[in-house]
Amino acid sequence: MKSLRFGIGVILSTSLLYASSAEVFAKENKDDVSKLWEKAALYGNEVDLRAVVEDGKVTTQGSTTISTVGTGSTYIYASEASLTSGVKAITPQGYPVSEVKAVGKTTSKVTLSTHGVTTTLMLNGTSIGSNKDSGVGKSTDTATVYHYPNSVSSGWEYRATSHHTLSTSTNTFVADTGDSMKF
Amino acid sequence: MGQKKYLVVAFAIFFGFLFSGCSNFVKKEDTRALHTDHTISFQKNKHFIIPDNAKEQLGFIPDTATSFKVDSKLKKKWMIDNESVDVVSLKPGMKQFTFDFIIDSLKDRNRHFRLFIFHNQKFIEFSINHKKYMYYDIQMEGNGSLKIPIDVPVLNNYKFSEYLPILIDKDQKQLFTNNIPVTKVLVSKSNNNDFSKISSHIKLDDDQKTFKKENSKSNEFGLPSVILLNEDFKPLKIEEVSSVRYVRIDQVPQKIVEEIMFFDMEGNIYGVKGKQPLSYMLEQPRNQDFIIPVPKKMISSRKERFFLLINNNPGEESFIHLNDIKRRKSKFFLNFANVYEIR
Repeated sequence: MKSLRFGIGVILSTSLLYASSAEVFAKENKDDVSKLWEKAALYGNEVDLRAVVEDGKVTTQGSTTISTVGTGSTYIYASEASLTSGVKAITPQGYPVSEVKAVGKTTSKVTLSTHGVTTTLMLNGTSIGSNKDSGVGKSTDTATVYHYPNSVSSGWEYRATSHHTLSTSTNTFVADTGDSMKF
Repeated sequence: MGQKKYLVVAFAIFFGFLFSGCSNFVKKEDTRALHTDHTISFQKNKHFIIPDNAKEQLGFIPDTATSFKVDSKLKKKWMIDNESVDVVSLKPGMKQFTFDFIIDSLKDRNRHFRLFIFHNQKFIEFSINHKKYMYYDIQMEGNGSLKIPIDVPVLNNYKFSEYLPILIDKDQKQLFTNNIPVTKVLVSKSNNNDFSKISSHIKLDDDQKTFKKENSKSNEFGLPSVILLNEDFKPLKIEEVSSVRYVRIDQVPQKIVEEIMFFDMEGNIYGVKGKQPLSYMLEQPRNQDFIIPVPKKMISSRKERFFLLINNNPGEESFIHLNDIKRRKSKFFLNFANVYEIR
């Protein structure tokens, strides 16, 4: 999937059009999304949420061993539209992309834990939507946000962020990850 | 005379060393005095919760980690599945106790937080460095760990209680979709770790009868999912948060006592129907969502930041739950609190 992600990005990077957002929001809300848009490009794709483990128990200090307690990641994937789906091949107006999805994951390796991931997908500075997933104990949360553009124009940029949280009985961890894809 | 001169010089050198040693000793004492249990300390490039070489190991910069620590004489461990839950075990007659709240940041920039201590259904006054605060503003350098010793009063006669250090990032507004995890500091006055005969004193709020309930769409264990609704009960996108009128709280698929509280950056508590000095104690039915009106004062306010605390298993319910987990009466550990920024 990751190779497809890069492949489509390179193939479609010579398009002509740039679509700008025409939606109007309240100022403070727009500012929030703008900040999120900027941050998405700064975040790395993957995180590890780490704690110190003492004698096999999750604690804060006095480590004898360091252990990973969880991980988090965000990736954007795009799927090319098939020619049979009614979308034509590359034209000056756009490129055939049937689906863009952002996937955020948080994994916990601690039994006494609760954890979650909230993923937000944005297009050209406007949010498309958010989704969240959470769980307890040793498990993985997956939040996916879909967009079905059919075609995209050159200059369009998708960005996604994920907010990962993991709480153990004594510690809390917060991390943000992000990814972007420009056509 | 020559020998006397040598003796004088020798004595001078001896006293010189002695004086020099004393100076160092005084200096060390001063340094140690700066690191007493009641002093805030910041350790640059030291990470008490996240390891120092996180960037190399992780390839990322996590935002924040928090934890707490108490004197080992006051700490008892409750073991479940080879993992521990720290419980502060108070000695008889203690009117207050100290815990270190630890903030570990891997960000390079300075951080600014506001810290509240929540206990007994409200924010309480606490002491840092012998000064009293209702909230404490923290300026913290980046890339290091900050240890804040906090003295909190023991306010009630209940054998089992909890203190929640709530940390709000002043630099960064959170989207309502993002939970802010809160550490629960469990406190026991019991001599032993037997939590099998605790009876809950929690009185549920009558207001919950007036809250709308709907069947939950989610049937998974996890964090309470908070969805903001407009006046037509339609879910809002993150850009539409200013239209919020109701909060839909989707809980774990089991009956659970939870505490909720609307508050602002100054620690003011808001009631759904007007003045509300305390949090609400609710019992969320299995597989049902609460739809709670956002306090009108919050909607009409010009203040910028408002929050919702959701505390699972408040007070002694946390201890009852620990016992239930140990005895396999409950399958999952649900002693967690979270704050959501709802405007």
